[in-house]
Amino acid sequence: MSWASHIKHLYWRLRHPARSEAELAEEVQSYFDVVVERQMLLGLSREEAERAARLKFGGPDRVKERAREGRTGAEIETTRRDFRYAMRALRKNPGFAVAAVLSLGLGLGANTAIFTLVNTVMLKSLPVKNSDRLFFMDSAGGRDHGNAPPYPCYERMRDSNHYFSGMAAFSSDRFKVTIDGAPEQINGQYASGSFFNVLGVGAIVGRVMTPEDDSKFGAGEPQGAVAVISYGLWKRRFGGDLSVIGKSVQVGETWTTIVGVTPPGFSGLEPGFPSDITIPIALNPGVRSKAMWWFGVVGRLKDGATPEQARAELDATFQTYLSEIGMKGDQHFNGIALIPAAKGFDGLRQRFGKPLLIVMTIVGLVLLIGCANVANLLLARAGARRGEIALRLAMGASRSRLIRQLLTEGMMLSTIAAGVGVLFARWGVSALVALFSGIRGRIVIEPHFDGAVVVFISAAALATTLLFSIAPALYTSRADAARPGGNVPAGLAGFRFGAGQVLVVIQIMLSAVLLCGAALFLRSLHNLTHLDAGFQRKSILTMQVDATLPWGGHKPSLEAEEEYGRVGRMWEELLDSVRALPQVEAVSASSMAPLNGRYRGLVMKISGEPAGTEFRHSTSLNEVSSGFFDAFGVALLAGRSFTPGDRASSPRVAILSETAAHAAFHDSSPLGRRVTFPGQDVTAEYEIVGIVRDVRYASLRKEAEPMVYLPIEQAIAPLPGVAVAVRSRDADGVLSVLRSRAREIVPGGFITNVATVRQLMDDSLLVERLLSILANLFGGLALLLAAVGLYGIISFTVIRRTREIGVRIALGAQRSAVLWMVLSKTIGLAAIGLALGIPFVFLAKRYIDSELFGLHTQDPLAIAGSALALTSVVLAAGIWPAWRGSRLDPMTSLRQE
Amino acid sequence: MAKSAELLQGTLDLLILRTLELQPLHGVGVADRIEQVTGGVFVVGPGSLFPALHRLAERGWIEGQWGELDSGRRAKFYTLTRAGAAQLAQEKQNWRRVLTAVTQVLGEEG
Repeated sequence: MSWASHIKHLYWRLRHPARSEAELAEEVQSYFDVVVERQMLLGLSREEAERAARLKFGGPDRVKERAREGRTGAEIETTRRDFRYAMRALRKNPGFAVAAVLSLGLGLGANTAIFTLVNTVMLKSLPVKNSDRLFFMDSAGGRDHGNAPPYPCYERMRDSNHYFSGMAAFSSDRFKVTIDGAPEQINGQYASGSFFNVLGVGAIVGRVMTPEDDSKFGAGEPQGAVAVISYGLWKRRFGGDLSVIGKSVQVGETWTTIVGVTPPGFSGLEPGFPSDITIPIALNPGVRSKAMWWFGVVGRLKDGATPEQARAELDATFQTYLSEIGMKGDQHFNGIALIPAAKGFDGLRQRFGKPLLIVMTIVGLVLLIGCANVANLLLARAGARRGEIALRLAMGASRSRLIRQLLTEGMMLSTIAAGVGVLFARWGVSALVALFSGIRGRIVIEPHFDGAVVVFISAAALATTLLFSIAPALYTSRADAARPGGNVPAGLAGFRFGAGQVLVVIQIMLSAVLLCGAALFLRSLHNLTHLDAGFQRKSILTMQVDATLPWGGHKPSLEAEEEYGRVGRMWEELLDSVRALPQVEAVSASSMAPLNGRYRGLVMKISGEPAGTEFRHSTSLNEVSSGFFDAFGVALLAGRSFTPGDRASSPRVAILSETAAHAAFHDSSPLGRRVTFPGQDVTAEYEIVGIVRDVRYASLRKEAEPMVYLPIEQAIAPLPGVAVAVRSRDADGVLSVLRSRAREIVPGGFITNVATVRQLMDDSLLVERLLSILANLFGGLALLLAAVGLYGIISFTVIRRTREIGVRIALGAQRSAVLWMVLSKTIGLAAIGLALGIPFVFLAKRYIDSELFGLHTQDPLAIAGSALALTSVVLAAGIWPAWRGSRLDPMTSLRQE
Repeated sequence: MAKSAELLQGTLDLLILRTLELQPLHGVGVADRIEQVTGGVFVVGPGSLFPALHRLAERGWIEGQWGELDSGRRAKFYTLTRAGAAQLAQEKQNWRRVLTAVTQVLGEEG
């Protein structure tokens, strides 16, 4: 068979490349020798004969090249030869190789790291069946989307709708899970029995939850409460042991039986907030509440049903429900929205989407700067390789062949750089993930270096190669460039300088853009951290203290109302135990603390308004102990603060924030007015006794929401857990006292989420910090690369103009004038780069403005600052070669040529 | 010269095989023989000859072997293999068919 013969030959050549080459060379040489000898017999001299043969047949190298081209696998061989040659060229010049690989490797690594995050956060779909038919059902209102309607409404929707084949409720929570007597905090969720079925997720061990497991409020059933754990928890905590099925673990104080393990890759519906344990939602007391918005709903649309049909039907049910509980007309939520669930809850995406895009742009620019740097280096090397290239052209190498060779070198550079980049990326990704998971919200991102990442870095490396090596390759292989000679030909130097100059200007321009961005994000972060958020942040330690209440966490009957007060007093007692410590300045307990991520909303109705004109006001609620305003330094504006005398048995009182007071009472004084909270279990009236300053609870960036404060003992529902805040000079000491006292005073006391207010602020500014850190890091890197490029160009100029400078100095030019001559070149380049770069920042305004706080993209301080930084670094890079130029000894420099 | 041989690549292969059918030859020998036999119509330069020789060797139709010229110089001599002989027979047949066909066309026109 003919192909067998082909392969045999190819294999032999690949195995013995040197011998194969030698044979080819010898064969062709022998041919030429025979021809030459024959000519010599005719009386020509050897030189004449050789010349004649060469003229007639072309050089031996061209013949060999053509013979090679005709062979099987010529491509493979050529590429292989090119690679070997490229390797040799790189090894011969390690300084160049290291500089180029680092320039590109840093850029590629940064891009890969950020892309890995983008891939994880933005592009990955949920690992569930037909996720495009899944929708989240949100309550929607004028302001935004929120949780699904209260549980009774959800039940009605679930049972009466015609367009969903299944619906499930779920609510993430942090559980205290006790396994074999050892308690630990685990992220988990309450979920409907139908949850896994609706998603189409099965169990890899045991079984998933069924609707029967979720059929009885407070118990689950039929044989008690069950739990389903994630693959991650199974591996981590149980070592992947199959006997985990049937094991009893305590979630909170409830005993549950593990019935199944979900497959790897599935960890709930929120990317970034993985859930390791799922228990029936029937165990959550909230299912009994008619007016609590506390969980999410996911539904699978039947085939053929449109989201709009389904939405309209759900909305009708919702409107009916709202009228029934007397909340129709509430401005907060007045409709239903269906959100495609294919990519999980979009909270993470909304929060990180744009910042990630901005960072992706930043690293893209860094890579461009790196490319410019390498292109510059390649151009510089073109000069050094003139002799070699000229030789190869003269030996009969075609220009396309040379270009191919040079591109192979480029490809090899970027392949090595990509390898280095992957190392950088791995390191960078773990640093970024650590930054995410270090925060209280525990955003867990599990990045995978999957196919998409591999495709990305390969494409990036290829694009990079083309970017940095095509122009230098075209230029280097030019015949006139390759003209050998002692002097730098004028044409070459001119081009070299021109191209290099353009590249440096591009680098400075891009650096200017990046530096400006960095300065903007830095200033924005500064604005946020120095903002007056209405509370003071110094030396306050906060933590969550949870209790196991006598009724098992379930809401008692209304007759047991005194229990409310009893629970409230329990918290006061805990506070008293630390208040006495000498280093403690103030203590408080409250249902929510600034920035601790909790939120409770309700509707407030003003009593005594004529029927029909009554208006319902959405507001947030915080139940606080008497020391709260003191501990957080929230100023009282009118009336009185809460006192220890505001007991469960005393008259019910409330305090409003400025915004709440103004929204409900406009300019009239709310003091002495009475309000109720419809839809809640406590129907009593509260008298408004004070007004306090606004506090930014949810986010430093958002204006304060209206807030109503109630004394903790007059809470609208008993608090099974509170946020304790202690202002003290010794956080650690206070914490240890609290830990031991909580165990004595609070049944089942469990302290979690210990953090200073400053840490909470850092956490809430995660995105801003991330942007600021990355923008500054990469801005600095860009500046460094640009400085290196500029240094190279200026040095080259000085070398090229050595003779001219020598003449000038010999003719009596001041050295300072020479210094200035070179420096002015530097400044000129920097000025052009800056002038071109700044407008690009303005173009990015649309993308950046929304991420900035308290300033705009055209912030003069940021622009001036970055321009100054850029100019100084650029000057520093240019001053050494300039100084060297001005020190030239005229005699030496003239003799050099 | 070499250009016309290049245009007729199949023809060059056929000529080389035919040349080697008579006796093993080295590169210059093959070129000389072709030039001689075709009365100078085909002048094969090394730029066409070597690719062709290597191509044929790869297909297993000819085989190269190092030997010595009369002058004592080392050169690679090519021999027709059995596969090559079979190929040559077939090529000859093909060529005659083509020739007949083309002649007919030309004859009709003429």
